[in-house]
This record gives sequence, C-alpha cells and structure tokens, in this order.
Amino acid sequence: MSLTRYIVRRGIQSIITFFIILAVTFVIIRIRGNPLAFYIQNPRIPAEVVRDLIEEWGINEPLHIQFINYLLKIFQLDLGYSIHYRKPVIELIATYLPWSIWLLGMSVTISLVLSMIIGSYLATRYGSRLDRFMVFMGLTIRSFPVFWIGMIILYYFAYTLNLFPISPTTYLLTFPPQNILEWITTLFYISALPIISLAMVHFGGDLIIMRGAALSVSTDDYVVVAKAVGFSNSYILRKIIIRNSVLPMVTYASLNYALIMSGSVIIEAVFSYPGVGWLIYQAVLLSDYFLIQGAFLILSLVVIVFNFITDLIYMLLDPRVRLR
Amino acid sequence: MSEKISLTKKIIVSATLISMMLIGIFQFAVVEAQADIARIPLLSKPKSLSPFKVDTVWTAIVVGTVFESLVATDPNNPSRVIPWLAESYEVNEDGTEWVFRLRKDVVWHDGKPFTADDVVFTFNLVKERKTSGFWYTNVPIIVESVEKIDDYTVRFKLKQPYAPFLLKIAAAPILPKHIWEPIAMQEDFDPSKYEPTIDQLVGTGPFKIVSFDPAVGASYVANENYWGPKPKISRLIYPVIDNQDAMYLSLKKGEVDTVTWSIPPNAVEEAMRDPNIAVMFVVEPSFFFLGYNTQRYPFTLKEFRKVIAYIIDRQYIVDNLLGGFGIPGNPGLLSPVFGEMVNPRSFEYVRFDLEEARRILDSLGFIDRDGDGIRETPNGTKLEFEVIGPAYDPVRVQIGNLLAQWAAEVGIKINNNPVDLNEMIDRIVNTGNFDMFLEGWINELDPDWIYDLLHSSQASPNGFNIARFNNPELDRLLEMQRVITDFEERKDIVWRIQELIADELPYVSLYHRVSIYGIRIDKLGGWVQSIGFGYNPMAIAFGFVNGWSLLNIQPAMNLPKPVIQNVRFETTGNKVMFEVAVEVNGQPMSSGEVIINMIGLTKPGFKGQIMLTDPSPNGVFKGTLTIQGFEPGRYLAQIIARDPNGGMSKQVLEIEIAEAMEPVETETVTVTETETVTPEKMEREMMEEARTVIREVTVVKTVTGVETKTVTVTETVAMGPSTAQIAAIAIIVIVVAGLIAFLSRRRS
Repeated sequence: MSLTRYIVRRGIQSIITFFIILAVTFVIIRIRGNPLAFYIQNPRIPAEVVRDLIEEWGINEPLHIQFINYLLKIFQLDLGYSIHYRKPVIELIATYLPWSIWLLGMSVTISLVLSMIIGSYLATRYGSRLDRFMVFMGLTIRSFPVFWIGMIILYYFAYTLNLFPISPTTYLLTFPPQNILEWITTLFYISALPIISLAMVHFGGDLIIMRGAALSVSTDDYVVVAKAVGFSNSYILRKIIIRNSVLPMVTYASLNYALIMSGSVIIEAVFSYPGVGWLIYQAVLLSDYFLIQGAFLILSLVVIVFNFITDLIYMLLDPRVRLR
Repeated sequence: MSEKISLTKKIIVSATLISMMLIGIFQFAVVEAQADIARIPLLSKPKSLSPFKVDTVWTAIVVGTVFESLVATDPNNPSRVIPWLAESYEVNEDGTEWVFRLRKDVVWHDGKPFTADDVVFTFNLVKERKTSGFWYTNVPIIVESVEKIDDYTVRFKLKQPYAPFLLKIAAAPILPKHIWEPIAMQEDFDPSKYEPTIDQLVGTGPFKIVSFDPAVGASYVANENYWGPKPKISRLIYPVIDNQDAMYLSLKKGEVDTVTWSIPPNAVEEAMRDPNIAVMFVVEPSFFFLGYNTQRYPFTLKEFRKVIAYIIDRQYIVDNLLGGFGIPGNPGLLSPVFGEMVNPRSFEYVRFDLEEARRILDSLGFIDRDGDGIRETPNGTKLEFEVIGPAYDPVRVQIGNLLAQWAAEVGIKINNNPVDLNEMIDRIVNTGNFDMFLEGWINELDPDWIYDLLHSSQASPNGFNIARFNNPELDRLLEMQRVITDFEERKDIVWRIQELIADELPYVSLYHRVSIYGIRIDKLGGWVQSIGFGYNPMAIAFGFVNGWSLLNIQPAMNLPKPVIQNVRFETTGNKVMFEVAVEVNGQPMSSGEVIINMIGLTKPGFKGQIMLTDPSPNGVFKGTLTIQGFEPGRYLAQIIARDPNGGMSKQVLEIEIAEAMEPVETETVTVTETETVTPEKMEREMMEEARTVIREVTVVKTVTGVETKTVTVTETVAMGPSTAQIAAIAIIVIVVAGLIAFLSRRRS
C-alpha cells in the first residue's frame, strides 16, 4: 500500500470516528434535560423571554432537525452561543485551548523522550540496583493522585524555594513580555511547574512500558547477533533497541491522551493555570449546553488529531505498518 | 555523510530547546521591589468587558474599575451616597424628579470632555435596549425620561417616587456617547451580546485598562488626567487565581497584595501571626435563614413561629458548623455590615430558650395527649413537619438535622429532607408544597430588598416572598420606605420594619458568614475597608477591593508607619479591655484607628473585632472587645494600628483566659515589636523575615496575688498539620523505601 493511500485511509477513519463522537455527545448532553430549567424557575423572568430564548437557541425543534442544524453549523465553524458567557463558544475555546495544548504537548513530549532514553538504558542493566530503584520510583509516582503531586511541587518549588511564581497569571501581568523572546522565556518560566508535574505523573508509567519493551527486544536474536558481530553497546542501544521498542511505546502513548487530558484538568486547577479544563468544569456546573457540547467536541477533535499524528509517526518508524 | 549532518542537526535542535528551557527556568523571579504596582487577584475568570453583561463580582470589578457614576458610596457608611461625577443633586417634593449638576472638569480617557449628553445617552440606551447584566436592570422599570437641561445639568423623571433611586439608578456607570453611539447605531447591535474591544472601554475612572485576557486577567495604568486626586500607584493588575489555596499562598509569599476570597479557615492563625499580613474579618451582607410556609397551619400563628425560633441555638450553629467564622443572624434580617440601617434592638427578639418554647406550646394548647412524645394541635393533628434544604450545602443539611433534634426536645417532630436545588426551588417558589425551608439570600446595598422578600404582592410564585407572608402593617411600611427620600426618615421606617420582622418572624435569620480577608502591609498602604465599590457603586465588592482603596493605595514606604508601643489588657468574664499606645513619627498618634480582632486557639473561630478611634492626647486607644461564644481558653488577638493616611503596623498577642469568671487583671510585660520593613530590602529578604521567630511572653497577674506565668514561644510560622508536612513525611518514606530497594541484594 502506498504512503498516500495509507494516509487517506487513516484520515477517513478519523473523520468517521469524529462523527460518531459528535452524535454521541449530542445525545448525551440532551439526556441531561432542559437547559433552561434553571432560568424558567426564576419567577422574575417573564415567560416570553424564555420563549424567545428557546427559539433563539433552536431547542424547540424536534431532535433530528436539531441534529441536522447542529451539523450544518459545525461545517460553518459555528459551535453555538454560550448561555452563561454570552459569547460564541468557538471564541471561548480559542482563548483557553492554546494554553492547554501547550501544557499537554510539552509534558507528553518530555515524558516520552525521557522515558525512552532512561527506559532503554535500564533494560540494558536489568536487575541492577539502579534498575530496581527507578522501577520502584516509577511505580510509586504513577500511583499518586495527580493533584497531590501538583500541590507538593507548587508548595516546595514556588513557595518554599521561591524558584517559580505561584500563580502564572500574576507573573504574566506583573512582568508583561515586551518581545517574542521574552514571551517564549516567560511562557517556559510560568508553565514549568505544571509541565513538570504532569510530565512526572506520566513519566512513571511511560518508563515502565519502555523498559519492558526494551527488555523484550534486547533478548531478540538480532540483538544477540549484533553483539556477536561486535557493535558497541551504545550503538546497539541507539540503533537497534530504542528503534524497535519505541513502537509499543507510541501505541501506549496514543491510547493515553484521553487520560492525560483529565489529568491536565486537575493540574490546571492546582496551578491556577489558564486552560480549557476550568471552562469545561464551569460549563457542566452551570448546565451551559452549547459550551459543554463545543468543548467536548474540540477535545475529542484534539484526541483524534493526536491519534492520527501518532499513526503517521508509527508508519515512519516502522515500515512494516505501511505494508499491512 | 548524511548521518553526520543529521547528528549536527539533532545537536543544534536539542541545544536550542535545552537553552530555551534553561533561560526560562533561570529567568528568576527578579521580583524587583516594584513598589508602585497593586496586584489584586480574582478568584474566578471575568467573563466579558461589556458593561451591559456584568453579572458576576469578578466581571464587575474588571469593568467597574474603568467607569464612574454620578454618585459614590460613602466609605464609612455604605447606606449613604455622596455626589461624585455630579457636583450636587436635588429632588423635588414628591420624589419624582431628580436634577443632577455635573462636574465640569471631568474628561474621558481619550481626552473628550464629559457632559450631560453622555449621561442622557447612557440612560436612554439602557432604557430602550435589553441588557443582561445587573448594572442597568432597574432603569427601564423606574425611569420615565432623562433629559438634558444644559451641558452640565440633567433631569431624571421617574414613573413613581423611588427611595433607592440613588443606589440603584443614579449609581449606574456613565458610558461615553462618542464611543457607544456609533456602535448602538449598528443594525444588529444587541447589548446582551455585543463584546467591546479594549479600545472601546473608555471611562472616566482613575485607571485606564491596557490589557484584558479572560484567561489571564486585566491590567491598568493610572489615568494621569484624572479629575480627582490622582491615583498613587502607576499600575494595577487583576490576575486570575481560581484556586483559594493558591491565592492565599500568593499572598503569603507576597506575589499579590490582598485576596478577594476568604483565607482558608485553617490558615487564619498562620496568617495572623505573619508580621506582614493584616487579617480583617468582614461580615458578609448576605444572610442564611429558615423560612415557613405562613399559609399553612400552625405556621399561620405568630406564637408558633416564635417557638421554632426559640429552639434554634444559633451560636451553636456558628461555632460548630461554620467553624466559628460567622455570627448569629440578626432577627431583623439586615447583616450588621449595613451600618446605620441596622436596628440594634431587633437582636433582642430571639433567643435560644427551650423552656420558653415549651411554655408557649402549652399555652397554645399544643399538648402531647397520646404520650408518644409528639405534641398535637387542639384538633388532634400531630406536630410533624418537613424541612427542605439544598443537598449540595453540607452546612444546611446539618442544620436540618440539628433542628430535628432540638424540636424533638420540645415535642415537635421535624423531618430533615435535603433535596436537589431544582426540586427545592420548584417546591418552595412554584408549587408552595412545603412546611419549612433553609435558604440563603445575597443582598444589595439598599435595604429595599426586604420588599422583594416580604411584601404580600411579591408572594411566590410571582415573586420571592417564599413565606407567602401577608401582614398589612409590614406592607404599608415597606411601601413607605420605597418612596421616602429623606435618609433619616427612611431609616426610622427601616428600623421599624426590622423590629416588626423580628417580632413576627416570617423568616428566622440563622447566621451571617464572616469573610476573612488579608492584606499585605509591607508593600502597599492606604487600604480602605468598605462595602460597595466607591466611585462606581454598581461594581459590587466588599473587603478591601473597592474604588476607595484603588484611589488611596500607595507604596508603604511613602507612608508614616505607626509603632505600637505598649498593649495593656484586662479580662473580665467574656470582655477584654484593651489599651493600646501608638506612636507615629515619634509622636503619640492623635487620629487614625486601632483595629483589634480575635480568634480562638483552644476553640477555633472568629471571636470578635473592634475598631478603636479617638485616642487620648498621649496616643492611647481604649476599647472593650466582647468575645462571642465565650469559653475559657487561649485566644489570639491581632492589634492593627492604622494612621489616618493608611500606614499600618500590627502585633499579635496570645491571651489566656482562665477558668475563673471573676474579674482578672492581667498585664503584658513584653510584647514582640513588629519588625519595621525598610523599603530597600528586596522581596526575598522580606520572605525571610516572614519566617523569623515570633516570641511572645505574657505574664498574668491575678488580683488574688497568685501569679501565673504563661510563656509562649512560637518557633516558626507553622502551617498546622498541613499538606506540606504530610508531603514531607511521605517523600521521606518513599525515598527511604527506594533506598532500601536500591541497597537490597542483587537478585541473581
């Protein structure tokens, strides 16, 4: 199968997944009941205002018509209008999503890269004291609640040691960056703690998986042959073990995006980091129909896109995938 | 060859990434002692910049800082207003016409002059168009027309006389005509949807907005052309910190200058012991109450309603369910924070007295005839009722349980039924199918809200008179207070209303919550405590974040710092008499104030706060603090001296009040001096100081001649059994376990 055909096929699959998610979120949110219940109960709001609102939001139509309207609007990039914020949903999400993507992207990258390097190295020193120590630490960190790790890191690094700001927003407003370089450094500085916390939480799991994969690879015949031929240990590690054991790693990571998302919501709350997690939390609390719908849609889109990219990486890493 | 190039690339890429991270990480908080910036955190994200869509406190603060109103709230007395953008105002005989004469020296942020046209334009715009926030909602209901008499005179004609006019209509912020007219002309302009840009947010206030990001916060610079006294700081920022603990930690570290939400109750002691944080307690203007369905027998009987009020131990609720951070409710409903409008006599109407409750029940003929422990009415129905409250609020769920217990003691059966909020509102507002309910009410600054709550025309489901209370005398008084424009006359009526409510008890006020605010006194001084925003009364705020503070805060180094020389106190039962000698610039402080507040150490909670003014010529402030919910034990008192310009210093003092209830005379021998913070010191050093040892030595001398000595040495500012300590222990355990794994014998 050619490269393009593979990409096209995966693309179509992703789009189908997206539509399924779209339909499911649409139904689930409507199961919650009338979004206006909260407003109708206020005796001060005249009945005609409520009627106007119902018409304006199109929730008086039958469900299938609503769904078609909804689909049509999505193609025009119109996710509806937030009841609570009185702003277009797309605009709200556009404000917060970049922050979340930055946090997610950085922490996932750091965790993956570190665990690949350390995990494969540990596999070569299987059973050593270092190996046992790292596995123990990895498992311990993995089993801690996310918010707890976040709070400790915040308390020690930001408060006790005073290395980082407690609140990213205060720092950003107190020292507004003047140029692009300052912007980049400030961004790294204020988001360092949430990124490190999130990376730490996932590093534990990633490390164990990578070590396991590398272990199984390192006993394979071709590694033995390579050793016999006389390649250096570092060459074997870099060229053979890492390359072959990265595949299960990538699968694991791609399956984990959803989990990471939920973790990032909590980390955002602990560090009062301006991300999309807060928006979703508020939306659910306030029964903000269109906002929940829009936010879930965008989040699932992000996951699907990430998965699609993982598949492409997979393909580049392993030529066998292309052939299947 | 190709191998080599890619390796070089890799090195370059990774080197760049690593160096960027390093630059980022080591861009150390060169937290220069930036003295002229005020940093006020917001607990939740501001939603919008539009003055028409303001519907949360946070949005109100962000947008409200820019705008001013015709009148401002009086910082010392929130029920009164003072002219602001107007020089003066007049009202005609029957209260239907108000004439405002405007100041002539006011300019908008963009340099255009402020005239009567702007006022007329603003009120006409919100009169005709549907707005969705709470700033302008009353305008279309009350205002008949607004007209310009000349460039600096405006006349309001009202549909009917309206006493809260000044606080609910004239207090609305004025918008610039030259900015909003072109916008309002647009075909599809809808005030409830339109989102203005930063450049369109032009006001007359002391600060100009320079940046706004709903995710991050807002920042402002001082308005150099402000018509009044110029702001004394050059920058103001409102960062969003949507986490109560992080907000407190930021205050403690000095990243922000105050908090906009209560300090977590378990950190109050630590905050009070911090020499750089002044802790102030503010009673919230809201109240929580028990209501009856006054259309159902026996709640139709005033005497029976009184029985229920008598079986509630409100002090117990405050001490045990609110952790001590509240005060028992005013039976006249108004929270003490309303100042002059509160009738002190209304407090005397309700007390906790089970005996009296039993006596009233007997006299009503409600006697237990069949001996099952539950009384019956004369016609034989059992006294069994249901109380409903919102299930999401643990405090009110527990109040329901307590109520059931107390009621059982006098022979009434009450079933506590916490329900979903939607169901609760449906039952109490719409259908009226309930006996009793537990609710909370957040008030406006003007006492006119009692009208909404108790006038018979407002009976649910058409309004918020959930009790369906109908009392012609109360109706008459409520209507009267609406139309009387004279403050003193109206106050008399509001006082009578409170006594009538306390006597009739359609609702039993249970408690007012107490907010715990902290301000850092080392960097900025001049904070003003007030409810109401000040120059823009519609921007609801309380505590220290208000317009008066914004106009007055300035670097603490510019302010004379009062020094607390000596503190003497005497305890008599639950009363503590203080004598505080204060010096400023080496002279006895002759004006200003001393604020003393107390928390319990043996039994935590807010125990009282007093403000002492009028010192004797040698700078001694005297006053007596009554400890609320008194029990013998250890107390922590915080003494804050504030000179008239706003310079502050503080001291803490541990007081032990012994078992003996007879008058005890005590004398402090040594008290810690608060460290003076010199402006040259860097923030980092200030941090160190915050952790210095505080030693307090108290010698207690009793009249009987027996001498006891209490020595309290606080080594560090303790976090209590905090997350940090638990974390430290856990980390040590983990590391030790890891080391054991590391050192254990290698498996073969």
